[in-house]
Amino acid sequence: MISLFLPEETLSYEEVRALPEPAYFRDLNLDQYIAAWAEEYDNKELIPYFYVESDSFEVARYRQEIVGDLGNPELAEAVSAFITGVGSAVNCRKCSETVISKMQKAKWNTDCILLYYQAMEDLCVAFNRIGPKSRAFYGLHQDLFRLLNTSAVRRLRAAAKTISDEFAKLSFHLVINKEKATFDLAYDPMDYCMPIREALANTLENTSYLPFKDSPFPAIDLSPLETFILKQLEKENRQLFLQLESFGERLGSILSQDILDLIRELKFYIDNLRFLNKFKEDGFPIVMPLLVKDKELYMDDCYDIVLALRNSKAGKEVVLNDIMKANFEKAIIVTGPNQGGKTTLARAFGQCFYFGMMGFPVPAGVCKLPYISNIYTHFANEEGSDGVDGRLVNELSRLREMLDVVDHRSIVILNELFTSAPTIDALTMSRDLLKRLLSCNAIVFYVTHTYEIALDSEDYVSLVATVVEDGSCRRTYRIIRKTADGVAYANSIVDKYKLDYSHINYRLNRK
Amino acid sequence: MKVNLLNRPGYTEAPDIAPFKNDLVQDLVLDPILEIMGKGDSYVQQQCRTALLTPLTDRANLLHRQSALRDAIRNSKTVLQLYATVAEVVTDISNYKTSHRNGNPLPAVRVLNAVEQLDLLAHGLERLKDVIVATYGHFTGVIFRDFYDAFLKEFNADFVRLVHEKAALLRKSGDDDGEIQISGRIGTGLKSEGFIVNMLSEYQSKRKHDIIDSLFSTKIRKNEIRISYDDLDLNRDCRDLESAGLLHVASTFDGFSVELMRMFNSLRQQLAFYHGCCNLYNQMKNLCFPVCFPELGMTGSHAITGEAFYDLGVALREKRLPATNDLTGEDTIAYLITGTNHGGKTTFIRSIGASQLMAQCGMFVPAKSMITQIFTGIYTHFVRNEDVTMTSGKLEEELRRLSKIVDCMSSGSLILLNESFATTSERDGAAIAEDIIRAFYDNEITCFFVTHIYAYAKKAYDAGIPRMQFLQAERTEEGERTYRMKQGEPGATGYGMELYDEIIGCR
Repeated sequence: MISLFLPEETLSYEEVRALPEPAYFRDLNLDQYIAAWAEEYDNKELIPYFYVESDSFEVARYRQEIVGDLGNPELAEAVSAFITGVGSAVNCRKCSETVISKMQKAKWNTDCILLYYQAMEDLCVAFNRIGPKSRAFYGLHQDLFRLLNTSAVRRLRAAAKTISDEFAKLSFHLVINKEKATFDLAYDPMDYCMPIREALANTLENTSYLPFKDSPFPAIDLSPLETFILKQLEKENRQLFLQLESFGERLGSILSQDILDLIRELKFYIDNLRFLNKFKEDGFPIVMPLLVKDKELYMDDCYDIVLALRNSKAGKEVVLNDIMKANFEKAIIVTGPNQGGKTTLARAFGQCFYFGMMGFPVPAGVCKLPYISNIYTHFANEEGSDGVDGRLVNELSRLREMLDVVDHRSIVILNELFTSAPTIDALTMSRDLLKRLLSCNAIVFYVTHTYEIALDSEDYVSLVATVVEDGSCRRTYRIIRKTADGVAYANSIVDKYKLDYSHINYRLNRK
Repeated sequence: MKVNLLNRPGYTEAPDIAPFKNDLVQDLVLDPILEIMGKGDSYVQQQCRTALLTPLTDRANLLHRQSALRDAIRNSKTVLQLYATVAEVVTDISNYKTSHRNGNPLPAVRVLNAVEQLDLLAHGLERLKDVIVATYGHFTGVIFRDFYDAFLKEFNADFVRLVHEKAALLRKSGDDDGEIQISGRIGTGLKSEGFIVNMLSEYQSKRKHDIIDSLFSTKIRKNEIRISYDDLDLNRDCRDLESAGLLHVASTFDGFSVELMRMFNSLRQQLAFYHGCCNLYNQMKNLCFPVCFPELGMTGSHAITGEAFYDLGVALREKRLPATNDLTGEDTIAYLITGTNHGGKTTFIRSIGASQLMAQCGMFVPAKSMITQIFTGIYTHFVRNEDVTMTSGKLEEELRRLSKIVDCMSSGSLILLNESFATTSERDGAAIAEDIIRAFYDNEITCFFVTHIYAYAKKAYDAGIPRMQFLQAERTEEGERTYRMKQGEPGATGYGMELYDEIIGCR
């Protein structure tokens, strides 16, 4: 069976479950994103799929195709129906394992067969109709089609259907009053509520029929009345009940582990897209990035998705920022005052790469993303320090390990280096480290308070966190591309709200 | 049944063209108007507020409202009677609901509650019908008449009888005097499913029952087997099934109750608007204020023109007609209003804004005459004295607000700017104003801009831009304020200093 994560390879849930959380997850707050996600959909068991990183451009493209297909609501619905259908089959199987009555066990098993293969067939029909474009769904279509057409499956389904159809014909009729209740076999299709509904039809604009579906006997096992009814029916249909018993007895579980794994993967995709869509509904942009093989990038209106999650709950806004870098530019240096949104931007930057590499949409308005397969982060860790020396040593050794593995398909996000060293030393060390990283051809995103570094090279993009320049130095959390300060205060606010002539013109004409 | 008093049949709700409702209320001083409309009834006031703050762009719908409102004003007593009846019905039912909110878990009680609600609704229908029959012929306009006719046709005597009859039967069953027949099938896992209630009837005593059976029963049940109530488990199951069946039947009426409640609520809401308008109209007439129904052109047809506009909110509060202004819009798209403080500039644009808002709700307006177009959006941007957010500078707060407006507005909108961009240096303010007003102008957004930024006003005047009017708060030669606007060149006198004094404090 194919996997939705790796082309031409299988991936069992057992393997996925063994994957460790990537090292950069906590720095980028991705662990918080995932925790919120798992809570929303109550699907903790799917978390390890977030750790299945892609190791090539092709793999990321393979996943993007799937997300693209699932963007078609019709297909997403068909996939959801498949998940539900198999889920019902699994439920029947569980019921058969729980109930005591032998006859009931046999029936649950029979129903399981029908639901299980029906779900597959429905998905095939939907695939036929919609024609998915992704390699994964194309392959899945083939696999399912082949499975359904094996003679064993066909025979099994036919036998189950014969029995099930006969059982569907069984019916009963009860009369209940305060003195007695009687049972007979004359099923009466007349619905007492129908004439009432018809009389009210004028009043009701949409008369939706609500079937009497809340059975007073919701338990899996049979209630005394149900047992009584079945006993009466068995008397009349002895042959059918015997047939069911002999058919059901022979059955083991027909549910295959491959399909159950596939269901998990599908559910992961669906839940993740649903979650990202919620951001869209809350007004945050979400976009599928254009993955490229060179090093040009732009992320318009990007933001920290975890901050968005938190702030939208609290009804607070999140500032959107633009990051861009030409192919020849090697590093992005972010400077500016503390608490100005620099760390948040670093997270947003890293998250875009993470989601992009996973083949998923990213938290940004427009995004062109160089494909990378490795993310390295180094966030200054204030806590857990064991003395100044210890901290520097610790930091340096972590950086050393990083230098050993960084390659041209890496991004490196550094958030405040060497804070425990004297400034002049820190500057020298930073410069040297940057040189080494850049010689590996990695993309470096460096948040620092030593702005001198930003001036070192033409190949560095300089981003500066802005403050309100009315003397109060309040933070705007807006980080803009500029070499030095000096832009007038009013203009910067006008820029910030895009209220100059051409922007207003553009905004008004967009509608 | 859809009530079409407020909106024409087939009208579909359009996107909100006045999304900044609290700003409108505050900037245009709408509260005194809403208070008069409500006349002590908070529901009426609330509904009028909603209607007034939801201006429309559909011309046919506005004409529909104007026509209904004219009829309502002629019959304001009947409107009140209708409104009061509907309000009583709604209150009775919601009181019943409140007192039975904590749903009793016993199915029999739940059935009885549903029945009682049903009775209340049927009773409400009868009450409303009595009023409609008694006042039939009062309204001369087609809109109220259509509503009367549709109501009488839909809720005829047969219908009400059926509701009462079925409710009575359900009540009997809930009281354990009924008999229920249920059919079902065998489903997944051999569980019973697909239940269907075949019959609900009054349970006859055994002897009678036999006779009726033999006389009327067409179906002779084969293989009828008695289920023994001595078996307590079976007895309990039968009772549970019976209750579930009764609840199912009761739920058949759910949609009906909801729909009827919706009709009553919608009727109450729509009548509240007309009742509120009548209150306002009568008060304006009592105070001898000019009032007229505006002539409405299509979007972009012509600018606002009219005689004797006045600030209704303030006039109602003071119970006195203030200075009025005429306006000849022709093809004007931008108005620059300058002049001394307390010269009536704000009052003037407020009177224009409130009139336009009322016009686009299908209401009469506070003016002697008004010809106007339908704007695709109505916005105000007045300077705020207090920094509500406590997080950002004043200019920042202003521009953020304006940016949100720009996000919503489109060509054909109306915006009233009052002393915007004054919280920065005059040079910066002038530059910002020029950009923004030019962008509005180029996009056919009608703009009234009250400003102290002389540098900008002078420059715009000198440039001789067509379709732009320059109005000034009039000051007689003795320096007395008339609170009237007159056309003319923006004057420089003391603007900068006044501004300085105002913002920084007296020198």
